Amino acid sequence: MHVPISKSELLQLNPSENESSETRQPLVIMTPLGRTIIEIQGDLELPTDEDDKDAEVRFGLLDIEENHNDPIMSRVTLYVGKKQRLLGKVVALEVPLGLLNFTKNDNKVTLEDVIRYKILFQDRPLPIM
Amino acid sequence: MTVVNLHSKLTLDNSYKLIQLTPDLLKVIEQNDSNPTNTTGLEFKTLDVTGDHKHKSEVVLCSSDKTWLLRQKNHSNTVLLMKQYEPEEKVIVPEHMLFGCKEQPSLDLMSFSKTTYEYETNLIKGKINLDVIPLYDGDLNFGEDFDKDVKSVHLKTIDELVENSACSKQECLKEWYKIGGCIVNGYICLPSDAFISQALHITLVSVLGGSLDMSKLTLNETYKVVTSDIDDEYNPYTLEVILTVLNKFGTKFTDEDGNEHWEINKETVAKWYGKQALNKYARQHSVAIDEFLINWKSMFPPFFPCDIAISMLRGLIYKPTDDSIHYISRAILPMEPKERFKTLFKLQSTWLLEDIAPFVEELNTRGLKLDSFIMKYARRRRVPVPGDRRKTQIIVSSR
Repeated sequence: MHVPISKSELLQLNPSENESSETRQPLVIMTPLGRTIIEIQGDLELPTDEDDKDAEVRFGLLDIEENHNDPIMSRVTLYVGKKQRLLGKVVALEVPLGLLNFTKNDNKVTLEDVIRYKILFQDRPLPIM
Repeated sequence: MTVVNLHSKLTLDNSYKLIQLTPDLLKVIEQNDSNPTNTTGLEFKTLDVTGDHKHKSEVVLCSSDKTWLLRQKNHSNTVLLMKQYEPEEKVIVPEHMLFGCKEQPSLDLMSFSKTTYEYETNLIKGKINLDVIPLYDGDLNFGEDFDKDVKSVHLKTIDELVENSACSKQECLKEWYKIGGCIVNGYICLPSDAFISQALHITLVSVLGGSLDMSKLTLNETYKVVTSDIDDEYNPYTLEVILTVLNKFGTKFTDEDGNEHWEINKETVAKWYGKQALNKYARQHSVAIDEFLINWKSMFPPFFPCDIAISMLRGLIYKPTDDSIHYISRAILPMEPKERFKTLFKLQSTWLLEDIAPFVEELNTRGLKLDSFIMKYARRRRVPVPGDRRKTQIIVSSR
C-alpha cells in the first residue's frame, strides 16, 4: 500500500520576498502560517467536555520577550491558571518538524507546515509570587 | 515584548503527527515546491504481506530515488501544537491575572492537537522485495499455470514489483537490473544463475561472431544476432532475456539521436565468469592460483577481450595458503557479526582489509565507519607492503 503525501496549498517553502513581508507573522518563531509548538515537561491538565466537541478554554498566558535577531535568546514565561509560573526558552529544532495531517475518511496525508522553532519549558513550575 | 493568550480545544484533533524533516527530505519537498499539483514528492509505503508472512512490514517513506525508515519516537512531555486564532470576543485580562505583564495580550494562540510521539526518519538503502518472485530456469512453459493458481501472488509488471517493495522506484529498478530480473511469458521472474550464464554466453558468442561493437550495442541488433543461429525448437532467449543480460552486464546510455545503447562492462562479465569458475573448480577443494587463472580464462567465449585478476573475486574466496584459493559462499556464513568473524578467521588467520571487507560490510547495519566496525570484532594493524616498503597495507586478524 502506498499513500502519497500532498502539500497544503497554503504552504510555501520558498516564498518570494514580497509575499513574506505581507504575511509577516506576529512572532518570528511562528511559521508563516501562524503555527508553533509549546512543549511542557509533564502533564497539562485541562477539563474535558465530551458533549461539545468545539468547546474551548483559556488556560494561560505567555509572556515572550523576543530577540528578533537571535530567536533562541528570547525569554519566555508561561503562566498557567492562577498558581503556576514556568520559565522557558526558545529552541531552534535541530531537525525541522513537518506537520502531517492524516485524514481518516479518505486516507490522505497532507503536509501542512514545517516547524523550525519550539517553545520549551523544561523546568518544574514555580509559584506565582 | 509580546503577551499571548493561550487557549485550548477541549477535544483535541488527533489526526496530526510530527515528522522529522532531515535536510535530504526537506530538499525533496523544496524541489517540488513550485509544482502546481501540490505534491511533496514523498509517499508512505507499507507492504501488506499475506500468506505465510502475516506480519505487516515496516513503514518507509520514499521519494523517487531514496528510502527512509520511519520509527515512532515516543516522549512523555506535553507537546501542544498551537496556531494563531482570532477569538470572537476579545479577551480582556483583569490586571491581577496579568502577573506583572505591562500590557494586555496582543495575540491569541489555540492548541489544536497534542502529540505523544514524533516520527524519526533515517535514510536507508531501499530493498527490493523478492519474496514472491519465482525462479526461472529456461522452461518454455513458464507461467502457464499461474492463472489457475489463485493462492499465490504472481506479478506481471515492474510497476507491480515497485508497488510490492518497501523501496523507492529508482532503487528498485537499479537493484532489479543488477540482480538480472526478467519478464518471461508475461510474468516477473528471477532467472537462475545457470540460465543467466547460458544467456550471457550465447549473447557474447553471437555479438563477437556478428562483429558488433561491444561498447555500443542496441537491443534489437543483439537480439537479431542471438536468434539467427538458434533453431526454433528451444529458444528461451527472448527479447526480454536479452534486455536482462544487457542491463545486468552493461551500462545503458542514450546517443545524440535519442537511441538507446548498452556498453558491455567487461569487468562485470569477468567477475561473473570468475564466480562460475570458482563454483566449478574451487568449491570442493582449494586450487593453485596459477591453475585457477587458466581455468577461468578458458570459460570465456573465444576471443573475448578482457583482463582477469584474483582481486576481482574479493568477497567470493579465501586463501588457505598464499598461492591457493577456495570458494566460499556468503550464504553459508553466520549472520551474527561475532560468529562471522570467527568463521572467517578459522578459514584464514589473517586477511587484507580489502579482502575481508566484502564479507562483513553487510553486517554493519548501524552505518559505522568500516574501520571502526572491524575493530569491534578483530585486530587490525598497518604493515609495509612486501616488496615496496614505502607503501602500507592493513592486515586484519583475530584478537
